[in-house]
This record gives sequence, C-alpha cells and structure tokens, in this order.
Amino acid sequence: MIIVAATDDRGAIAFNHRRVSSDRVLTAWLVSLAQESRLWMNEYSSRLFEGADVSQPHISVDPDFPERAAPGEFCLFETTPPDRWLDRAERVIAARWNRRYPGDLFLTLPPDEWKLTKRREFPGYSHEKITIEEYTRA
Amino acid sequence: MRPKLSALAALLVAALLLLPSCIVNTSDPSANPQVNVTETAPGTSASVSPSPSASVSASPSASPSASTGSEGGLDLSGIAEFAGEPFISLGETSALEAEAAETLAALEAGESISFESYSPLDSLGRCGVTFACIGTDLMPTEERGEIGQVKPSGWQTVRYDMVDGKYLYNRCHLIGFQLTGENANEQNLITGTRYMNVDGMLPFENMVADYIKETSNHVLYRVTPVFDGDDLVARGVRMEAISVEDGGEGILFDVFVYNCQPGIEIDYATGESRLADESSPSASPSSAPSSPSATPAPGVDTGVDAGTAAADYIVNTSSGKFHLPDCPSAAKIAEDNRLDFSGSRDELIAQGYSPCGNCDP
Repeated sequence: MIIVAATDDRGAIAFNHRRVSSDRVLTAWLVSLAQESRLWMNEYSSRLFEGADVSQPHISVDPDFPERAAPGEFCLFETTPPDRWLDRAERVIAARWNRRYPGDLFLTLPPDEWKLTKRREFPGYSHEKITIEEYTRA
Repeated sequence: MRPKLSALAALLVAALLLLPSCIVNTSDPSANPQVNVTETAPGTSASVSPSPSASVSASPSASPSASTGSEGGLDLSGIAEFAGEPFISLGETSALEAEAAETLAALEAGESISFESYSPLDSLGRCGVTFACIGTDLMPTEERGEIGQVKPSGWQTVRYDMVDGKYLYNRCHLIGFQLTGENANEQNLITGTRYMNVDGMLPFENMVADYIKETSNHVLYRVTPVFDGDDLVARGVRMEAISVEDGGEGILFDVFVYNCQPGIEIDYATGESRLADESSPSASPSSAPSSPSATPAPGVDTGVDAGTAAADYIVNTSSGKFHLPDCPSAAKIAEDNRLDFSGSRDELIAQGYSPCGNCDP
C-alpha cells in the first residue's frame, strides 16, 4: 500500500469530516497516479473525481479501502485516519498545500523512522504552490 | 432575494475581571446593545451605512454543544476554558444551513447573492456581527492598504518578546481581507491577539478563500465578536461558514476562537496585559523600542499604533523597503509600486516593510 494524502503545513488533512482543501491540478495529478497503479479511496473522495477525465478504470471505491489495497497500490486518505496504516505502507506520498488550515485529522509527517526521498513542486489552480513529498522507510 | 441578514442580539455575559491567560469562562448573561446590521451592495467593499431593510429576525437553530445566542451570539458560560488549542468546535452542523438553502434557491432563480454586512459600533465603540455571502466577485483585486488609523475598542500597543511579531495585539479583521477586501473599516476590526489572528482565525479564512477560488462557489460566512459585559476586548470570536452551491459539502464549520495569547494575561475590560507569571505590567503602550523583527505572516492582519512618532515615508511595495521622502532611492520607485505613508516607523516595520539602508529612516 502506498499512502497518499494532501496536507496543510501541520499535516492536517480534514476538518469536520471535510478535506481541508482541493485543487483541480492536484486532482489531475491523482488521476495520473491511477494510471500507474490502482488508486483506492472511499465514497467521499470519489466525488472529487466527478467530471475528471478518468480514462483508465483504475480508481476503486470501498469503505474499507485500506484493507483491500494490495502492495504497490495507492490509497487516498482524506477522511480516514492514515497513521494507523503506516505499518503496512511501503511509501507515503504527501501533497503539501503550503498553507495553514484548521484540522482535526492529521497525517504525521515525517513518519517516525521514515525519510524524505523525493520532492517536487508545481503551481496549482487555486494554490500558489503544491509540493509533492515522498517518504520511504529509513 | 438576498439571504436574510441578522439583527445582532449578541448575548453577552458578566464579570470576569482579569483572567488568567487564555481562560474564558463566564456566567450571568446579559444582552448586548441591539444594533442593526447593514449591508453593502454586491461587489463592493465600501463603508456601510444603516439600511433598515437589512434587519431581520433571528435564526431559529443553534449549535448543539454550546449554548448559543441568536445570530452568531454566544453564551460564554457554555465555552470551555482555553486548553492549548486556538479554537473549539461548537458542533458539526451550522445554524446557517437554512439560510444557505434559501440563498441557493435565490441563486437558482437568477438572483445575485453576494453581499457583505457589518454592524454599527455599539455605544462602547465595539464591533458587532459581520456577515457575508462571499463569492469571487467580493474577493480583493488590490493590495491591502493601511489600517493603522483604526483604533478598535480596547486597543493597546504592547510588545512582548515571546509573541510572534512582538506585538500582542493585531487589528484583526472579522471578515478577513482576503475574503471581501474590506480593509480599514472600523466595523470590521477588533483588538485581537496575534495568537487568535494567526493561529486561530487565519486557517479558517485560508480554507474558505481557497475553496472559493477553486470552485467559484459562494460561502455564507459570519463572524461575531463575543464580549463579556462591558469589556472592550472580545473574549473570542465565533466563526461560522457554510458553502452554498454544494449545501455545505465543501465548507461547514462553527467554531469559537479564543482571543488569548499563551503566557500573557489580558484584562479584557481595558485591553491591558502582563506576563502570566509576573504581577506587574511588562509593557506599556507605545513605550517599547522599535524592532525590525516584526514581519507578518502572509495574509495576516497586523497593525500597530502610530504613536507620537508620526512622519512621512515613501514605501516601495515591490521591494518592501521604506524611505525618507528625500531619499534618492525614493525618487526612482515606479508609480505602481510607490505608496506615500504617514505614520510611525514601527507601524511600517510591523507591516513587514524594512528601512532603506541608505537613508536609514
């Protein structure tokens, strides 16, 4: 499993059962991720992709998606706590909004005993800069 | 039809005098002076004048986990003491849901729904409820101007080394500038701690602003300062918001943000303050030396008293430097980047500008 989550500066991914932010550029990037391997998510997250060009049927929706994901498959955590799945994860991909939002659901970054291995940035539609960070076990 | 606006009947509460730092807990509610909410025309951010047509009845619903007054008011006795987090949630639903549905119906009927409203100051010079339906048409298209000329109720210029940016108080926009572009409006500025401004309110403003930019949807947004009795400084603000077009799926919150600063005790009656572990005041208005270190975070509302050292400066809004009027560098500033400023050096520094190294203003 590869954990994927979009976070604010403190690791917040959701507040009051809602994602803290969204950006169509990041959504398109997630769609491109699903070309590489299956992208799992819950029903709430699937609504993010309504209208998106999902030409490959590699997006799977299931309330228990972390349980269903096989090694090498992506799991998008938006309203599901991600930290408890770190033990099973091979990688963590965090999309950083470079903004501060309120939060009541967080992804711990960097995870204990993980290291930052990749980092790239691109401008978003409604965000000046989105940073993609990838962590693997140290 | 526009969404109904609120006549402010902010429920306020009685006496806690000098509180330990960040503790908000009161009882014995008393009514705030009634004020009429007024409204600006859609797409404008002009000053507000009384408009009798904008006064309507209270919302029927209230948040479940705190005793709430109508129209954004709040009974402080239902608010937990500050416990290290800058805000607490008042519930997972919103008292604005019915108004959001009405607003959506108006939008679908082809009506313009954006508006912003600000309450007249009460007899103590305090702000009241602010309410807006924010769309991209209300969002600012120009840089922020000066706000140092506004002195909200309880305003004090006090500095502490332990405070980010040094200044305990900011002129806090109730409805953030990034949302409606409303700047030096005394009906939208309160005396708020740096902690409330940056750690408490700004994250919610960011969330709403970015949602609107991303979706071009509207958000009903209400911010109510909550005072205790005749206090001049609010104990906090209630922030409520719901996204209109998606019925709150994108944005929905109802929170109370504490107007406190960890480590500092505030006398909310007057705005005076002191370190929490000292009995004597550690700072006094305008008496502290200037510091070049007070750089605001992006989007943060700041502002300090101009004090007695008012002078004329020329600001280069592009480079972030300010100059004496006769500085050769000032003459070279492009017109679009030039700002003529009258006020104190400290004020410019607090707003993120730095002095020119040549003329040393």
